[in-house]
Amino acid sequence: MPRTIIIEDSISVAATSINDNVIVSNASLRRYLRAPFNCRGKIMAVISATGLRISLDYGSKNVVGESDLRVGTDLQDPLDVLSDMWFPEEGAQLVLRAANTTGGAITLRYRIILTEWEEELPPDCRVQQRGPVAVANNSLDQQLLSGLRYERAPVDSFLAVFMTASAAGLTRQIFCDTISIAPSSAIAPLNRIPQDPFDMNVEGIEVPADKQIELSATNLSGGSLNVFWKIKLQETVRL
Amino acid sequence: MAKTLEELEVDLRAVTTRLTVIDKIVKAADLGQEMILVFRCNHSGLYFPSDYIKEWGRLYGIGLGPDPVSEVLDTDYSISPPEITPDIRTPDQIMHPVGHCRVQVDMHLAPAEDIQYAIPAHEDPGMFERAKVIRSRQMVNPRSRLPMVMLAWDRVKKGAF
Repeated sequence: MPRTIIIEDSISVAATSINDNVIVSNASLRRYLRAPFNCRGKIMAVISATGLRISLDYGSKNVVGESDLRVGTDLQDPLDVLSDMWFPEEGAQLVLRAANTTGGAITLRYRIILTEWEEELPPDCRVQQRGPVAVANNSLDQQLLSGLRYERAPVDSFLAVFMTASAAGLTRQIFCDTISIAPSSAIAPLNRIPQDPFDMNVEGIEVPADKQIELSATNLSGGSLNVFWKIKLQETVRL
Repeated sequence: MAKTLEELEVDLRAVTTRLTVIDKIVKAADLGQEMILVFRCNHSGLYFPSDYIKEWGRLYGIGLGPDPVSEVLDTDYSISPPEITPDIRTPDQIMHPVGHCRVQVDMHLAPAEDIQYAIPAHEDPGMFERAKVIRSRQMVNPRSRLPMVMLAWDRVKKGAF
């Protein structure tokens, strides 16, 4: 029977500050800072107000890029799961970093579940999600991944894209290395961070290593709107 | 925030097909009283403008889901203020965490002089203004641990540790 460790906390992140590892902010969780065995990891998180971003690394590998979270008061599994396909080795240090750019302290509620993995560790899935991202009126093909960590796939990967919008009127296109993956199409006006699998736009798209992923939004609605997006890159080889 | 009757009708149609509210506004105006159509937060008692529902997801409530709720910030006193670390440079950074209360908002007709509007999120990106107001209330709320944390802050500043 595989062993399971659950690391869960609700922590206040101070205004305009960065907490380099929220796990150590709780003294009783320090013992879980390093993975006790080879395991499969799952992370889910919500925040009390917009403006706090998290990232997750194990060892020197990033598996959750700087990501915004759903605004809520309770964790919902699987809807608030950022990633459930990352595989830290025994002894790998978990680093959950939180950055609050607002003028008020914000609550971060998170849960990390480590389930023992007895076979050879598979490739990881890298995730990044953002929102709300403002798309001004009359914006054509605003590039949402420009300059971000996973604009290019680090290794050969399979891509899945999830998107929602704050209100009706936004359309999106997806290109991979200039090849059109998804033509212009409306985005569901659900006004929240996308949920897996309900808000999936495309999945199973092969992205070769170092090729650019272009996720663009167009707003011709007459007013400013916001878009929320999430990408998952399931690696085909383990680095 | 005077609106024309046509603008009011557009805002009202986002909520209901019954437009009798406009008749009440006109009748009150004839009697010399200015009545304003607003949406009231049931938790804080603060008000939002008449276009709150119509502009949900565009101006108001970005990221709070498809159904209009109150975006007024509330304090979570069950979670302690963050610990004092070298990253904390000013005492204003320390406070109980806040979150959107997300309670029901109700349509309301109120005299103009009685209305206290909430600061909408789009006018205060980063919640710097709202945090100031909430923090001042946290300092006097009996449930708050902030006054004790401020004592600790003063000691840290004076090098007591």
